[in-house]
Amino acid sequence: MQDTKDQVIFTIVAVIIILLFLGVLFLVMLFYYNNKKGQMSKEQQLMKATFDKQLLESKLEIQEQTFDMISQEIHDNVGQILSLAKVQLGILEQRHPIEGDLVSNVKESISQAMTELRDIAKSLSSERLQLLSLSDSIAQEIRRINRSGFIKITAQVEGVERNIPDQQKLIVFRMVQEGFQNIIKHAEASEVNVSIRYQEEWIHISIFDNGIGFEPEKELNKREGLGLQHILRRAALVGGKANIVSRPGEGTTLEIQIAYA
Amino acid sequence: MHVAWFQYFQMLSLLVAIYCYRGLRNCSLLAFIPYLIIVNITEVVGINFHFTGREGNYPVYNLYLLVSTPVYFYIAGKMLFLRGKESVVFYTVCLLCLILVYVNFFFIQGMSRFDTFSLVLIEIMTIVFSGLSLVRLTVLDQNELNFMREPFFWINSMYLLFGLITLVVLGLQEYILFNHIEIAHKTLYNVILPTVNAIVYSGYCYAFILCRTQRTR
Repeated sequence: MQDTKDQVIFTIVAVIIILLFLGVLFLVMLFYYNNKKGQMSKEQQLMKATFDKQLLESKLEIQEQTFDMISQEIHDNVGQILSLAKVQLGILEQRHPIEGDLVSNVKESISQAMTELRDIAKSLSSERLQLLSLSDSIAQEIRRINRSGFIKITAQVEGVERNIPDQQKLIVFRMVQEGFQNIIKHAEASEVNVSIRYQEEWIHISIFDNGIGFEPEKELNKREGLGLQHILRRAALVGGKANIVSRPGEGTTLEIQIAYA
Repeated sequence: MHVAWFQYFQMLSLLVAIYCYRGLRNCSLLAFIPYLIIVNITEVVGINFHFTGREGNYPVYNLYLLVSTPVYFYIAGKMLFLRGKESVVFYTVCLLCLILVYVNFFFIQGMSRFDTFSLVLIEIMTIVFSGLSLVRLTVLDQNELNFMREPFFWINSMYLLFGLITLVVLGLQEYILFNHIEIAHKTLYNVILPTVNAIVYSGYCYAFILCRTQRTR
């Protein structure tokens, strides 16, 4: 009788243990599946990041090609037409002298337009930018904007510029250019201060304007905030970071920090 | 009044549930408070039933099955994240189970015997629902879950393990008692169930605290 009881107890305990084992096995399998899912999700994110990076690189390449083409067109076509117009004006002045300063004023206007167009062509041409240092490219851009008289940009450079790879230099310059464009278009600023610091391993660029300011998080979430998003994405593309600090009524600071490649 | 040691864990879980009221509300688990109140009252009355002069506390536990089962089904429904027709199927199954439990109580096993049929049915449903809930939690969420910090995982794991053990121990309850199946002069379910209860209700406590710490799901 005792033996039968022992067998029953043994069977009941064995069934409980087996059921428990199955329960625990089920939980372990869920853990395993969950971990696998996590790994796959990380891989997908990595693939997406790589894809986004490649996409951005392609976009930038296309943009640069477009800029180069526009620059070439301005230089070879519009520039030539304006030069021809200036020459034709000279011939006209010789054949039919006109009293007053009218012709020379027109000539002056054409010269001014040619200078402006040449500067725009220079700032658009990636080949030309690659010939200059980053500081020189930014200084040239500042001169071009200051000439318009809409805004006053000042710049300070600290440290000595190290050799920056052409691609990285171009991207950083385009970020600065985008920053200037945003200020001109939206900031209603009268003064802009640019600070470029070359450090051992990093380049810090800070652009401060005294404009109306805004709420960066809000703008970044909007579709219209594409310019700002481009700056942030470009910074990430060259292994750096960009930060926008702003508040309504308190101006805006764009901080760009890029590591030497 | 006698209080068994595992009842302290049940009382603690009720207190923790009340303390974590907001967390439970945000996790749609507020029904745990009435559920634990029913559990605690049943255990207190069940263990001290002999003071009333009556033999056997089966009516108390049979009533517990009648009252607690709808609350449990409601909690299970909340943890399954039911959508559209799923909830219709789920609540139809629950209703059928409840009808069987009530039929068993009133017409088959009655009040004076322990309603093992009802208990086995409820435990099977508990195992199925908690298993489904765990699968759903793992499969449906796009991101990797940190199970250790997921209250639903803890609650369902506890339900699952408790269901698997009680299915055997309480399903065979009458047989165990009648044949004096004992280990160290204690009936089998007196050996196993208190420890299981302590583990399960500690697990609930932890889950409730997790609900409180991660209020927004």
